[in-house]
Amino acid sequence: MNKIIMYMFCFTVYTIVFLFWGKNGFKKTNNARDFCVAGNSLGLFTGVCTFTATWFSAVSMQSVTGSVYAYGYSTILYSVVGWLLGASCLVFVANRIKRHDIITIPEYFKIRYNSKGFQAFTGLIIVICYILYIIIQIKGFGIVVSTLLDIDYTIAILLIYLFVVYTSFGGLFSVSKTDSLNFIILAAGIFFAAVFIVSDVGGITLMHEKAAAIMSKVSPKYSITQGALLDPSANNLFSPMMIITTGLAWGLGTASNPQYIIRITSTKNRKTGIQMVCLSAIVLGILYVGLMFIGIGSRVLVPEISQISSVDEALPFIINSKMALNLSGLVFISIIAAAISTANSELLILASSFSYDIYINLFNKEISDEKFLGISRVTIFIAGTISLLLSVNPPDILLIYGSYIWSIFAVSFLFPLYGGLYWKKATKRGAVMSAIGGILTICVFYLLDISGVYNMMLHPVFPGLIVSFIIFYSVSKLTYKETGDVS
Amino acid sequence: MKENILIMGLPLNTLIIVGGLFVLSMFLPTIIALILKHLEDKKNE
Repeated sequence: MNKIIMYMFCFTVYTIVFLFWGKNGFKKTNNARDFCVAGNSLGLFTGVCTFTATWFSAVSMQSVTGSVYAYGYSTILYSVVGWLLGASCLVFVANRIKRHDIITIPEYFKIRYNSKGFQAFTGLIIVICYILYIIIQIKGFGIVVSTLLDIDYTIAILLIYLFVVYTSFGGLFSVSKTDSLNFIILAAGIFFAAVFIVSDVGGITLMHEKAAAIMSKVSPKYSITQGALLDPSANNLFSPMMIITTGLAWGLGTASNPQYIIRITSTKNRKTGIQMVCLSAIVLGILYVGLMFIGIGSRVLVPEISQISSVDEALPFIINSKMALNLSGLVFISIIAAAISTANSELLILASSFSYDIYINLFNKEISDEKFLGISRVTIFIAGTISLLLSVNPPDILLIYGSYIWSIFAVSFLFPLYGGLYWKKATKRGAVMSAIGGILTICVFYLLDISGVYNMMLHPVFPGLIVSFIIFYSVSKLTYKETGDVS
Repeated sequence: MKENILIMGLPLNTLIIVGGLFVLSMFLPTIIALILKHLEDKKNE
């Protein structure tokens, strides 16, 4: 059978199952709580599926695999390890956040710091950051679909737009239901692809021995020295400071990321929330082992790919050129599943934030459930369209681009959230000023870096976090005793 | 010349640094949850 026909067939089957699977969520969604947190009803199985599927995005599937393909195991240190350490911090959130009856994370800030302004400000950060982050999922999907179905990239990205908008309209019930389907598909795709590639290169030991000898360039842009694929710093290609600070950006961005915290608040109780985070980290770890083997094994199978312009394109190329027909169809769908399951969650959260934290909070308190759902769905449509338009000219390497967006969450949410949960002296002014100070610091260091004024060899999140922490601690200490500053 | 120790074809330092940190980070949420539970049980006694 022709490969394109096979991919089309898989894609059609996936679309039919997806539409059927997701439609039930619409019936259950009647109000804001249903829409934003699935009526706080998620059990452990659904929770782990939706947490893992949301986590596993185009960055994981394509950029981690592509970066391991290009630079080897050093990639794991500044991406996956950072993310999973961030998940560890989420246990602390799960331990306390369920004490508050909230349906968005900015609402927690309003309750804790008694500030509608801070709720709206953090809501705005969520809206902007997720519009920019969804570009990653759209690009990931676009690359795979355009490469494998041999259609134009612009047409390909229109397809994910329809999928994502459809599921997000149904709220978290719909998103979590389709996430369960997507999780099963992506886990199966990674498992079979890893087994196929490792078998093809002759086993794990032989794969590493062959990888150690590779010193070719993936393409003119990406070159390594011999042995770099198996070296923790890719033979000093990345400075330890850059590895640590990029891992920090990802990790603390994960630790304070609304898309994970909202899943914790959506579980039926505190115990389920904690178990969901712990179990998801283990499941994710197992999936990442599969991706590492796919990345290194693919490099052994195909040491050079002159046709690609970015490491993110490596996996689709390998699928198309090396994998058996049936398997390549499954892996193709698993990459699509990863992109859709993350994008719809992010679109849902940004819509919730706009409707609940900005519109209702600032302009119209008395609003019917129907109107709330209507505004949220219009927001999904508009925000999805903006992301789609921005995706026509996407960023180069998703893994690096994403770390900048996550770093905004790290500097603006981390201290107000964890400080608010665990430090009684945390104050409104400390929280607001640390968020603003952290974001400004990141912007200044980022501009200095890209303008070439000063090559820092460290991620801008590092100075951003230091500034954010100093402001949060010192301003909270100074303002703690002032009346009305603590709720 | 210094000989590299290999385990499944992977240098030992890579296995310890990358593999060790990876496994630790994978199980750290569970470890933290158990510690928190232990502290809570102790507090309730």
